[in-house]
Amino acid sequence: MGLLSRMSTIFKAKVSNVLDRAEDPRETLEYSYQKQVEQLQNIRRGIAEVVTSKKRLELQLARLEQQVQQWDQDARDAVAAGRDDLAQQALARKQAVEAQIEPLRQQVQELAREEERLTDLQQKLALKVDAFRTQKEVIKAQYSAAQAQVKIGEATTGLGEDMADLALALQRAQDKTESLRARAAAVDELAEKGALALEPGERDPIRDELKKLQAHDTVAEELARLKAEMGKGSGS
Amino acid sequence: MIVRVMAEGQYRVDEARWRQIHALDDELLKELEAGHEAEFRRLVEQAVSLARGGEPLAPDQLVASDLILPPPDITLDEARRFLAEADR
Repeated sequence: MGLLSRMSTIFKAKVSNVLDRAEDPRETLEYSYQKQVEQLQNIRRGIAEVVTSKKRLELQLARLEQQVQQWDQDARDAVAAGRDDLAQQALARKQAVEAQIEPLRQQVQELAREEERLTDLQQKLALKVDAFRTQKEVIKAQYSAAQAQVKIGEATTGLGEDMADLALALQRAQDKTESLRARAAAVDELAEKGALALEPGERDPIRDELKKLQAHDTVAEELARLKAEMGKGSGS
Repeated sequence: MIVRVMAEGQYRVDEARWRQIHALDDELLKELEAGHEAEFRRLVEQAVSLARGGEPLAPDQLVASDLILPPPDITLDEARRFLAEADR
């Protein structure tokens, strides 16, 4: 047996787990329909959770991107102040976090595609549950128990396949979300620590130094202005 | 014949496509066991695009499938885990 045949067998076993085989399908049609509607709701909830996780990851990513920009700005300020040493430190941090967030960005994009796919599958499933509802009324009205058994067998298996398929797709998306969340948390921590293993709570020495330089500049400017006002400019 | 592509939907395929898909079956397993990721994914894509060449079933049609294909972007690792579930 090849791969596809094996996968088909495993998948069909999952489907028969999903389905409730009934003695007289007419009696349990309603019950089985209710169960399908219930499962559809569970799946909707599951998709909503994936969407929420994705949004949280996007926010996290946006925050990291801001930090990268901030370090870029710090590097520029440092160059302007003639402090290449500080600029180098800022750029090192920027690059360390950038390297981490690139794969994260790709995975968030992948998750967005996953979300799209789940939504599409869920819409199809809703249509199928609806078709099942119509068919069950027809079957109840027109067929004997024996005939109904055959008719409903095909319909429930078809629908059961879609249920199982969507449940698996959802599981897959949840697994991906989980690993992504762990990864994002690790990058976040790295960024918090300034990518240079600072102690938590310790202030950023690069930015502090730049602030000092800027403060020094303003003092010097003011001094120059004061001197000019008092007629004690450099030329006089 | 009805073929389902997981996470996608069902297609009605003719005899020729059905045979072409089946022809990939053993090869897929061989690549999986050998751990050739690229080759494996290429074969999966090939099988999926053969199925997609068939006629997609309308969403309100409730029909059981004759063959199940994995999601087009399945990885070797995921395929291994899926098969391992049968042993549990």
